[in-house]
Amino acid sequence: MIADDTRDRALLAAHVAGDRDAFGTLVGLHRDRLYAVALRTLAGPGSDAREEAADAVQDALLSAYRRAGTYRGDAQVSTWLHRVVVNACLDRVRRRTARPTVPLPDAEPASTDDAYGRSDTAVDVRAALAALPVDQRAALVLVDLTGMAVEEAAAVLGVPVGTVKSRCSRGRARLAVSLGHLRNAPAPPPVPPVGDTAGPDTADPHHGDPGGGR
Amino acid sequence: MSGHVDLDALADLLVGEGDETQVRHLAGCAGCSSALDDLERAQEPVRLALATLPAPQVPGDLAARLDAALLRARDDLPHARVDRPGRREGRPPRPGDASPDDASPDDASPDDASGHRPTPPTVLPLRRGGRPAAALVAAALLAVAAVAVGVLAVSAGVVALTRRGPGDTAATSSSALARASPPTAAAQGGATDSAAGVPTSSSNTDFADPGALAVALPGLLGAPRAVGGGAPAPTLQQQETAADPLARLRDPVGRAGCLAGLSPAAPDGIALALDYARYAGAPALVAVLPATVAGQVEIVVVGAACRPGAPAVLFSTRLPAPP
Repeated sequence: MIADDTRDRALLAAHVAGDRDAFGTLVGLHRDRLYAVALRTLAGPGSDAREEAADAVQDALLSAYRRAGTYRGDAQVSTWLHRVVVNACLDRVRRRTARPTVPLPDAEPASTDDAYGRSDTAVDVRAALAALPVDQRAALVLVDLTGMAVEEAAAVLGVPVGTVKSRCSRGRARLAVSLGHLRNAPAPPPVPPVGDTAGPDTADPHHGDPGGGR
Repeated sequence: MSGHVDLDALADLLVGEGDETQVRHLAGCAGCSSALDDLERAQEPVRLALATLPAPQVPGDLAARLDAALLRARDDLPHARVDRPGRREGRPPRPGDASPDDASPDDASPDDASGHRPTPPTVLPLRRGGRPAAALVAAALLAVAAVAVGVLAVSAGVVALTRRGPGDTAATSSSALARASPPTAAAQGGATDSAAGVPTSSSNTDFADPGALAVALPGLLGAPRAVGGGAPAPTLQQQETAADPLARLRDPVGRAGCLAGLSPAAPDGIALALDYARYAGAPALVAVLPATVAGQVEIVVVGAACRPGAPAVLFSTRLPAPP
């Protein structure tokens, strides 16, 4: 909202001008949302990312605190903060080394499929989301979970709008298969291993080859 | 292209990102066309499932943890050293550097010790005539000097109290963390209300000079301990009057909520010593908190508005604990 961004810009300017409490106030306004984005982005198959998400948010916000003077005002302050946090999370995911994972015991009751075998309980959706390639997951977290406009998500991720649309659509397609909403669908391409930055999803669709290297 | 379109290609076609070859194939393949229709119908339930996913539970200590981290950042990096555009000159752009607004932690510039004033960004200012950065630099330099002064004063066994009121006793160079014998509350010149037996004083001293904090530290830690028990604490609404701006911080619950998390070593906000004083003319609470570094303490000066989630820290520093 315009009023929120005006408020955020004022706080950031006050911080740069020397107000000792302004950045803390700004953080307080966005903290929970940023944590949710970090957690959903970092969650991988069988991993508990809560502590890592807290670490990522802390590191990212400290970086933003120190670099506040570089903010030029081209994007909303919220977009800028999300960009810092999402970049930190993507860096962490890509640095992870492949290691055996043990699925965590579910805190919620086991899912119950409906008559069509579809399952949308929260634990199943979270697990399916965590199994997506990280770039698709990050796009869906911003657009479908956070409610961000595609254009703003593109600014956060630093990619064209078409790339965000493609990543979201591909992610939803995979989720539709995982959650049983899509039967007899063509097989999705294999998910690249964690930490693989050369996965088929990372390239810009506008430069991808017809074989699907997007 | 051989064969039919795969799932990713169907997904791209759905949002208009498919290529011409796939579009032509679709026109002539009933199976793929039907698959695209199925995929389109599956989009809405998936979006709904994602949108209705419960928000994750935010860790209870995340707010305090972030506040503590920012507090340490303020100690380590005064505002005058906030990065400004141009400091990254000479560093080649990295792949993926989308715009000047990109602030990836991996792109952080090395610290610059020059401490010169940053160029203001093109944003709306909160107010005109804010605190000048030069004064902040001066305060930061004073704090650094105060640490050195404090260390020298403590090591020489010289302690100067700036406390007022009857019954003042100069602290000796004995261990600051030793349990002093508690005097009666009447022997102390100010309000003492903590049930936790924390050394508490009400010096009303103005600690605008950070050097005074370093000098007063041993005295704060050696102050008489508050006597517990007695009449139950009044409610915050009863206490908080214009006559006592620090009333909220005299209540143990209000005070602990304010101080919680300001030092990672004191997540519950229990202080080693307290002094109800002033800072730059405004009522303030000086709290000595344990530090995560052995042999040191955190000194935090908070304003009357300090409360959970809004620490209102006026000044903070870390000093060696007196022997």
